[in-house]
Amino acid sequence: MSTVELPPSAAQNELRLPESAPGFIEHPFQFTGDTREFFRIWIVNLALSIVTLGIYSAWAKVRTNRYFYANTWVAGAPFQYLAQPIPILKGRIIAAGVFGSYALAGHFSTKLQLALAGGIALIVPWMVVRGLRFHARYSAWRSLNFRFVGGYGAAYLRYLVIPLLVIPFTLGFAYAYVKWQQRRFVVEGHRFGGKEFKFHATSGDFFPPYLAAIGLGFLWVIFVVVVMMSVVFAGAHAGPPEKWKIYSVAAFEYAGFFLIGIYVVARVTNLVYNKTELDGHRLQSSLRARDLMALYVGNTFAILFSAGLLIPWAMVRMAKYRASCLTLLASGDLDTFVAVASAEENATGAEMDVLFDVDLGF
Amino acid sequence: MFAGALYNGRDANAVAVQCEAADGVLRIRGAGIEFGAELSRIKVSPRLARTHRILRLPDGLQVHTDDNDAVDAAFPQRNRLEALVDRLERHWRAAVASVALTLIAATAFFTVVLPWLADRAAQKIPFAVEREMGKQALSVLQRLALKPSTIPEERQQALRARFVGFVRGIPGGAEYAVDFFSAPGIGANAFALPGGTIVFTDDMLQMLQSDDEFLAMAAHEIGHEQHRHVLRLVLRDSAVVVIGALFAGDVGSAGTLVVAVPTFLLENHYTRAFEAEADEYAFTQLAAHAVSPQVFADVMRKFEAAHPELKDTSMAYASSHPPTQERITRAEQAARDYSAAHAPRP
Repeated sequence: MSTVELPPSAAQNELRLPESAPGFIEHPFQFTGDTREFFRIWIVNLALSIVTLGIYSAWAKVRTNRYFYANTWVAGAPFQYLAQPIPILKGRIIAAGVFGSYALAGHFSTKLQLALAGGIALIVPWMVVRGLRFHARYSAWRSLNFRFVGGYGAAYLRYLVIPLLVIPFTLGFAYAYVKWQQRRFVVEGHRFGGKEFKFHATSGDFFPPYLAAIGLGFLWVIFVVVVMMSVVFAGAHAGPPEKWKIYSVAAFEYAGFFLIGIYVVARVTNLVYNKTELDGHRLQSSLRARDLMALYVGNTFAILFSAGLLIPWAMVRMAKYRASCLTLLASGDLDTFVAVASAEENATGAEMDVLFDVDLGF
Repeated sequence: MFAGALYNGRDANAVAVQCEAADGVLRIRGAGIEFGAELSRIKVSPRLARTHRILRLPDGLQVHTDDNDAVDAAFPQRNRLEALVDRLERHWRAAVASVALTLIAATAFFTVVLPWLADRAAQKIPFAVEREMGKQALSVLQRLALKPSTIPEERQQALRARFVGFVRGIPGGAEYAVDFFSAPGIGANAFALPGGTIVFTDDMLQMLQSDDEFLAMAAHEIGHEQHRHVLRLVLRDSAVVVIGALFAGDVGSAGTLVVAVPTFLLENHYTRAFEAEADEYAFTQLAAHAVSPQVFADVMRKFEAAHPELKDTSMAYASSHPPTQERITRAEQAARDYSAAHAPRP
């Protein structure tokens, strides 16, 4: 099964299916959540989290995740989120403690903060594995749990050793290679119904999106500098420019990086899904960078101008779009998956990755 | 009676079944299937909107169904907390009340509870830690921006002497020291480091025309230190950041901006409250040393009306200490009180 390699410019917005897939049965993903319904869930749970000083937030998280999983359907069955609130609460307390001491340390002693940052960097691979195990263990479809079996050694290699060895010596150009290693680790570590996920992307597949992003980033910086020179300083009287001008140029610049980041998300997400296989079944992802940009920008403004009240609307909109771009290509019967026992997992790593913004991908 | 899908717990096959609860037993019937399970041994997932319920039977069997009302009828008194939450989630009135409650509780939490907790924590932190913070901050500043002062030595000595005389009577006065630096990059500025060192830049000293104006600025900065503002701000800000990050996880894709804006507003709010507190302290101390708070108002006006040529140097102080009309008005009110108290009696 081979995919069509398109030149980067053409591949930008539509990654084609594995050869219009003869013999595959298409099962589009569907998100059935409703904005009004989820708004009520969101605001009631938020209020309860606040009045309980955050303790209820673990229950809120479980209900939110359950809502999004249970409203995501494929092949006639919804996903299930099975985690319990108490382990999440414990994980949150530990994560908040670690993050809090890190945030505080910088004010008291830079050395202490550096030491803490180093310590946290050392446990990132551990967090990644714990987080993946937790999320997989408590995600299910048709009553069968997912599992993650990737080991700590492999995680340390891909999230610590290889990045430290490779990225500095290639001036960052090997970033795509590191990302490929990490995504492969995540995808191939997953199991469902006793079957292994396989990852067919090569490291070469990862270079076009990241190189394109680096190129766009450089062009953008040059463009911003030119704009800044000509607009902000044009006819400037003596003295530094006014503050608002500096801020708006900075905001303008970040907006560009934000859009480039979304472009990378769209292309890499498509790449990862399109090259993932589970027991002969494939996925087809057709996110379009410009749709995703419009969604993110619209969501950001809507949330800002509604004082946050449109957050649930934004979340549902995003879930609907993402589901609408994903299709399961079944190579045959989906009933052949079987259950495999797996142990309970604690949520410490899973909660830390949220706070420290570890990119788990997938 | 409700319809559901029975999973055997071993594979992905679902069998359509009809379930009926009676006499403490759930009877399950389907094609070639008929058995019962004790209700008390069945675990039921909590209700959530229209999503499927999962009934976990003994031996790994599962029944999935979307007939929420029938499940609730068969298993009353289960998951009482989440059953209550579910009822709230279904009513618009609860949603509206939650909006109000969230706004009120969040405001109260961030403006009253969190500052109170952070301030209590600040009291527990030993002074030695604060002094260490100040030392670190000063050494970083010296590396980056502060150079030896170019103000004549006699003038420095005179100002130091006034400063020492000024802090003699206040609690912990011996810990206080004043330092002068040339800092073209910072401009006209004065700030208090944790631990009691007050730093004036040369540009600032050049803007101040008299010793009294110097004392007015120093008194304000001493006020910051007396109230341990840096430490309290650090604790409050750190708490806001941690809580913000926790909620950003729930907020999901909308992420950082949603948290960044309220964090910025809160920090501004805290800073303004601290400025007012330091001003109050300065007015009282100045009056105690027979200096009218009018001097303070005069300095503020000077910043407010800073000449365009001076703008680049005066802006630095003004941006962290906004010379608002409100502060000037309060200083002038304090000056009137001072004159009234010191007026020659008839």
